[in-house]
Amino acid sequence: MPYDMNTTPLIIVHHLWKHYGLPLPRVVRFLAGGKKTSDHAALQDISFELNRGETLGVIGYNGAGKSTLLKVLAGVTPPTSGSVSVSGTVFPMIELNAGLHPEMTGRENVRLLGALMGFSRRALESRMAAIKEFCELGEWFDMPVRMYSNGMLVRLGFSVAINVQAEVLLIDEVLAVGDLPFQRKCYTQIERLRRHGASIVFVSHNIRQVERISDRVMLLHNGSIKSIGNPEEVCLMYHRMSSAREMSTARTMLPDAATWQGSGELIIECLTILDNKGNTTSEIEPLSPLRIRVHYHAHNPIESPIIGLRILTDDMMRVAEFTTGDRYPGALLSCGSGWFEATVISLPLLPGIYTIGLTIKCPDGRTVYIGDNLAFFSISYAQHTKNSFGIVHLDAIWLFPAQHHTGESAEAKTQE
Amino acid sequence: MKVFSSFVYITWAIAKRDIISRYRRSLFGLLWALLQPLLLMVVFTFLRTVVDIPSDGIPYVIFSYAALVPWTFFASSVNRAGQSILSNAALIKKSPVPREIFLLAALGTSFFDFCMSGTILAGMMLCFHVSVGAALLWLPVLILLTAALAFGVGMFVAALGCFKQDVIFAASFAMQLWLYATPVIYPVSSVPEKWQWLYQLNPMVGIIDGFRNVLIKNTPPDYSLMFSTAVATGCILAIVWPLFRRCANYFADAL
Repeated sequence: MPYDMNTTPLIIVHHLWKHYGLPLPRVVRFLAGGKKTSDHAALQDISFELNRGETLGVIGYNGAGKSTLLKVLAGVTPPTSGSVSVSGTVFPMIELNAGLHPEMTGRENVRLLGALMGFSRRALESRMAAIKEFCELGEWFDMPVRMYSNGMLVRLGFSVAINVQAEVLLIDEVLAVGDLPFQRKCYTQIERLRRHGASIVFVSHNIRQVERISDRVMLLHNGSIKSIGNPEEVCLMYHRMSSAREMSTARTMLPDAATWQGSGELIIECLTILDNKGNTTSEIEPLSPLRIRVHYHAHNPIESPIIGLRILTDDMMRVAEFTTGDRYPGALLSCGSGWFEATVISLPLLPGIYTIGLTIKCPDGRTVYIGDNLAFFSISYAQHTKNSFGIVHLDAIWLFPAQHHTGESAEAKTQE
Repeated sequence: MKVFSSFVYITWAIAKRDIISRYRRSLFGLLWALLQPLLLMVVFTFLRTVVDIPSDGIPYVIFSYAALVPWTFFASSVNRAGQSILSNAALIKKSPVPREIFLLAALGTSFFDFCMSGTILAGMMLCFHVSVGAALLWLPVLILLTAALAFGVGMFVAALGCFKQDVIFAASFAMQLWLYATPVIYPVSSVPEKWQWLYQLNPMVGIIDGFRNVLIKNTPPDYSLMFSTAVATGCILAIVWPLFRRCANYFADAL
């Protein structure tokens, strides 16, 4: 270990407040004819510490103050009040490919960015080979950056950032770009830096990612810390917050959110989710049945249609799609208004917001209707899935050949 | 010390980027750097065939060019430095380096152009058999004074221009007017005696007159003019720099 793990925290933030705008006296502001600056503080009374080798995830809605916090930590903008102390070399990965000059080659841009981040010429040249290899640009590395694709720009920016020996890394939503193998490579590299004692502040909207790589998570809401601590608990809290918010917006926005196209032979009037008693619902317990009823209006009858229903997460990942296939040759969508229904016996999804999409095809493969965001539902929090994380609930049976005597049953123990 | 040398390296890296990138896709490349003072010289030489402008008995071509080269250095330094904060917005938003670096890099770029035009000037001086001597030792002092003054004025433009761009637009107009308030295309002696006190408040008067003395008259600069220039430059720096420092904290918020 190159660093002593038991020293004082690398980052100490104490009652940090940040207001945007110049701190001008009111008179000057009035004379300048400027617009009224908002009295809303971007950050309010933030206090936390970050130890060596620790990864802090920062989550929250847009405008919660996540990026402002990173900017203050990077020293780019001063706090309005309170104190911020960051010891050790800091590498901000903020707007990575901003500041690349289009006329300069990749190598020249690396030199400039490296210099700005405090590298000596010698340190940079000795890392140049590693940087070039990491970004996988090959001969493009010595071509002007204006010829690069977006993905190449990101790889270049990230390669400089990731190949430095910074003690504090500030990462702002940069991993969302780049193709999958490159993303994976970046995670491996971050993991390596972390093992070497680097501290990381990681801002992302990808809650699953944050939950996975953080030691602690901070939830920012309207500029103040709503919660900080255990990743699972804080992420769960955020999920609950967004579920409540999304459900309320979903209800009002549903007609707008739905997107569909079709041949015009059939329109979907509504898609409802029913509970056991046949009442419309939008909240389902994990592992209970999901009953979807589709009301349509057809201009022509459609014989033996192939119908598919899909479930997507709120970040548009397709969790599952189930279709009739060719198992229902006698099915008919009759002319005029009608409905059909599909029931999933036991839905193994974990708490979160999900949306439903629908595809209807003719037996000859022609698409009659394809639509998404046709309905929303949420999976509620339940005791019986509290030990499950991720999207899907898997019921595992654990086996431990060796046991020690606790008085409790082995099964109860393994639940912990 | 280590910090200082890294700042020098960053300044150098940015200046180099600006110089190289400016001409990379052009046909004539670096030759463009020579064009501006040359063109002005041609214009004023033609102008002189219409309007009588005294030139202290020196061929007007070299009389005006010897002043236009340092003037262009000053004017382009102010303009570039004034825009440097805006044009490097992306870097400023992600790096906490002292913001002065971007202005110094702008001065470096203009100094490069100055050296290029200087070679032409040297060639012309050879053609016109201008005799030079020990007075040339004053050159570094004059260049440093010009740079310091441009740095001060540039900081003012950059600091305010970052918040209100009007300042930057106004600055390039002001530089054109400033040219006529400076003995670039006419000698100091053609300003009436009773206005000299006001005229000499312009710190560029001492600098440009100094350049001309040193380059083509082989005499040291007018010491009293140099003194007032140095004092004025010092005052400008003393007032503007703290202002710039104060604003610099908020550049990242405003950009």
